[in-house]
Amino acid sequence: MKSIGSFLKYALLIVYLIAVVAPMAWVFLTSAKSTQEFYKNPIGLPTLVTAPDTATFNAFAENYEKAWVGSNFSRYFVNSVIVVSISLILILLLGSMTAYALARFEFRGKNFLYALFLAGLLIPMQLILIPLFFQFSDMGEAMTEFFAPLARALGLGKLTISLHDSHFGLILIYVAASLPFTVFTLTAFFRTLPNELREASLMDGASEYRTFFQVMLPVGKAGLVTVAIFNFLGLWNEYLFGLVFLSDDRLKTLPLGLASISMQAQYKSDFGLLFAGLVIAMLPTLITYIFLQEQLTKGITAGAVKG
Amino acid sequence: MASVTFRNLDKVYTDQQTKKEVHAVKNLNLEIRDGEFLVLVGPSGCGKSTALRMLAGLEEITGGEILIGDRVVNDIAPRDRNIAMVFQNYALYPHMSVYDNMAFGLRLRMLPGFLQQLSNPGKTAEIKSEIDGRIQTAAKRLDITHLLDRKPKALSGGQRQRVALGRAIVRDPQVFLMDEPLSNLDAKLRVQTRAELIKLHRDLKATTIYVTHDQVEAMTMGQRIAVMKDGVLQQCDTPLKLYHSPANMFVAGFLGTPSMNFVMEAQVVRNGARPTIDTGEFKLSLPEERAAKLNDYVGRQVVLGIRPQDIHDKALAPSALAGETPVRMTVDVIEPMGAVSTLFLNAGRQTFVAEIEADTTAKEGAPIDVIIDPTNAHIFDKETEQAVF
Repeated sequence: MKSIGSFLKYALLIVYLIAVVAPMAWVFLTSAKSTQEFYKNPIGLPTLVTAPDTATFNAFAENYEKAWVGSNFSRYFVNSVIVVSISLILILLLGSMTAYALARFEFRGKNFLYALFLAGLLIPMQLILIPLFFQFSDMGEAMTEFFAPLARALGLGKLTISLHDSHFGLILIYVAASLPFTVFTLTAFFRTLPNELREASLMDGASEYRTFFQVMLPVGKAGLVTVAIFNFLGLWNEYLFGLVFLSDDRLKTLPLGLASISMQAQYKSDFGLLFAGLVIAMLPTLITYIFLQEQLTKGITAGAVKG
Repeated sequence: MASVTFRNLDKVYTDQQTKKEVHAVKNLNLEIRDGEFLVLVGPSGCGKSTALRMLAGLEEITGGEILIGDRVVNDIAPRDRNIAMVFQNYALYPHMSVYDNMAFGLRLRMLPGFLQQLSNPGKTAEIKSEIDGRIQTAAKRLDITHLLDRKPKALSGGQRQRVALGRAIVRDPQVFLMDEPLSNLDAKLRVQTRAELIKLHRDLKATTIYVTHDQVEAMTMGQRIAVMKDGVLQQCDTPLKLYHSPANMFVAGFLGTPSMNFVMEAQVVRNGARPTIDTGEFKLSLPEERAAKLNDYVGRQVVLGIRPQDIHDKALAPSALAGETPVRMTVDVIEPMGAVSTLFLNAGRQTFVAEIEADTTAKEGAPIDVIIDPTNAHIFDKETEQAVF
């Protein structure tokens, strides 16, 4: 009975493993094929593996070179890194501080504030896209006006601030859109941390800020890593807001770049290039997950209190 | 070191779940002398931890004052009160080594700001070596030198307890607070650590306030014990004073194991010179010198309290009690403890617990003649539950 149960369990897990790994492997393998080879042999191993020679290696290298250099993937990649990393830093900083206050302190309006963040989770982002677009136009104008005297005084001439077509604007949206989930998750997480740690630190002579940054935050690392990964995955693959708010090709992020190659691929049928681009977009996600998954599962609070 | 004074201390808070107001500490007046080891004891929810946390600055004070030395500390932040606390769950910083756990508070207090550290590296190194010296001394005293590099999760419960103590003593604070520090240890380790804490206090002579719900810990460790119930201080005195002259029925029943026997419906009658208590099942004549105190109670109902240790098997009773009238009771259950046996006795409707020498010939279900030591009997007012003596 027991062996049938464990057989079923493993069978299910193996099916799941194949379902997850197979498409990914297919992307990797296809990125090593030239377009002609892809048409001849769309599913099998590339000749780079079965019968490697200089020509096949060149086709493989060419795919990546075309993607990285020819199709501006290097620029998209850097743009993505800038936007996502700055967003993540802000999200984690603001989110953890908000969540800590909501989890640990009693103050007037606390429940309302918490409900407000919760409500943010319920709003579909597609719904606010258009109002946000116009709001950004207004905000850009208002900011231009606000900083005009300063710009004049500094002799910068006419300074136009625009939230459209700027990484700053996109980061602003990403941070605002990610905070509800981050605050919600981290508040629940901070509630599970022993309050005595904070009290011990306060009595040891630390201020509330030092207690937060030197005691509670390191202890809450597991929770921070979890939300960091989730947010990273969401933002790295984010397409819709990027599409609406960025039109300058030099500012585009990876998903936008990928979309533009896939559109070109419809006419040129350059599948090698498309899959090489996919691999480039996918790798950071994979690497992040592989490196941080141990942190995800490791409970760092072990030993803080009796155990 | 400093004394601690609670003056008309009050604490009222709203329970987050029930939304009801809780009066956790009511008009507490207590003075802990400089260098004293005082134990705050009481059942859970009696307000002892709340009082301690108010002293630590972790709870706001609703009314009254707390003084450390001559200084009112009501509005002073915890970090400026110069107090160290040992928590029940130790609250060690899990991401720091034992050394850093102990150094955390010292670095915060002793090292100057970052820029000053940079501008005066010589002075900084000097302070750092002083911190190191203090940690090494404390570690040696607690025998945790070999653990300094480890993280808390690599330590056993007893070792964590020592590290928590070490973190408190390196700071050399004015007052030590301990909130049930032994309750997470197993029974054997608890007895051992109890003795070590007493020794540590003797060496450091630090003002210590120790909160526990365990009356054995209170009796063995406290120079004085403050017994609390429902937010009200019942009595504060030395362990033996509390044991021999409890102020009320609660203190009498709380301290001592097994706890005191109470006869709820006893009557005071006059019988010649000696005042006599009639329990309905038997009569107990008290010493003559008690008569004056009982004058007002003649003919009234009182509560009689007898400690299990004051009930003797007639055959084994000390010679001083030879003249007393024996009382016949039935043995219900005998629990042999080794040196003594705990007997559960019936006298009509009343039940008694007695601690009797193990070589008694008493048999379960058989009658036994016992002698109750009248000099140690306690009488309580039935309405106020306060002790008459």
